[in-house]
Amino acid sequence: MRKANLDDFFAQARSQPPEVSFDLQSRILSDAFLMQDQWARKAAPINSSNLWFDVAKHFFAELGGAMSISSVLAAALSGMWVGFAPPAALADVFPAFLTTQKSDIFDLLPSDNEFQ
Amino acid sequence: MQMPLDSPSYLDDQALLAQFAKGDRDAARNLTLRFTPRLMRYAIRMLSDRLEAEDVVQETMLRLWHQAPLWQAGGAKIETWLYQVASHLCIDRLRKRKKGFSVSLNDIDEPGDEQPTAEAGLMEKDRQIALYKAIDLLPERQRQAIVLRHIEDLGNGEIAVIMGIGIEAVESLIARAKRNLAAILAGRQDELMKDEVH
Repeated sequence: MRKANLDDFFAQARSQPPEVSFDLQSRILSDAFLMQDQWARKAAPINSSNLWFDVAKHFFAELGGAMSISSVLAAALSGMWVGFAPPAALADVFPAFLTTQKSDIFDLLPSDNEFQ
Repeated sequence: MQMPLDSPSYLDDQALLAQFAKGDRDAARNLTLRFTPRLMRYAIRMLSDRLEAEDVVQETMLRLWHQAPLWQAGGAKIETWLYQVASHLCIDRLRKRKKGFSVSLNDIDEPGDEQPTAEAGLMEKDRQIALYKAIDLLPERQRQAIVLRHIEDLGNGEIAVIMGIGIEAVESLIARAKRNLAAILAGRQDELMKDEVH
């Protein structure tokens, strides 16, 4: 094949760049905007007068936000409630945990002694 | 409508990237429009697979976004850097797969409306497919060199940077690639050129 023909092939290939699909452009821009949003959050200035508020806000955000915090609080309050006002069914069980009672000793292998 | 002179489309690549790093959404759009078509053409010619090429282009641009705040003004040319990243990603994929003959009609863009006749359009498409199949048969380094030189129209110096080799090595790869392409295409020359005699 002559060089000129090969160059024709290349010229033809150069003249028709492939179209970039809308979907691909959207994915690329979505990555870009996400990145910019992350930088913006990191760069947001911390106002010194509200330092503790900002620290608490970041702390709660790291813990998982309002939903997560409310679940932890609800569990803690339920625990305290059960501790102070136990249900009647558990009334007999709690003293056993709270007082130091002598434990019964059980011989787990009573037949062992028979061979001695 | 007249655009202001500091509109992102008037900025050079590095200034546009700096704008992007400052959070400018328009800069992101302009960079995407500026670079993705060429990266896409390069990745398709390297991989012969549109979906894989799209993944490579997305990953390449993602790395550019990550790099934006750290980009040294006056340093490497962004376009060269992008081709370098895309090259590594393409070669990784080529090495990972056991590739067969995967160029299909779907990988080739439809001829435009300016084609004189349907027959001529089909002939041109046939010639493109023949070229791409021939390129697909080249060893990966030769393929990379010939695509960057003759389809992406880059200089040998820039190709040397992208491929991490010397200029003489680039010239040698291109010469060997052209010899191989000519040999592969010679078998189909009569068939492909028959419309030129009419």
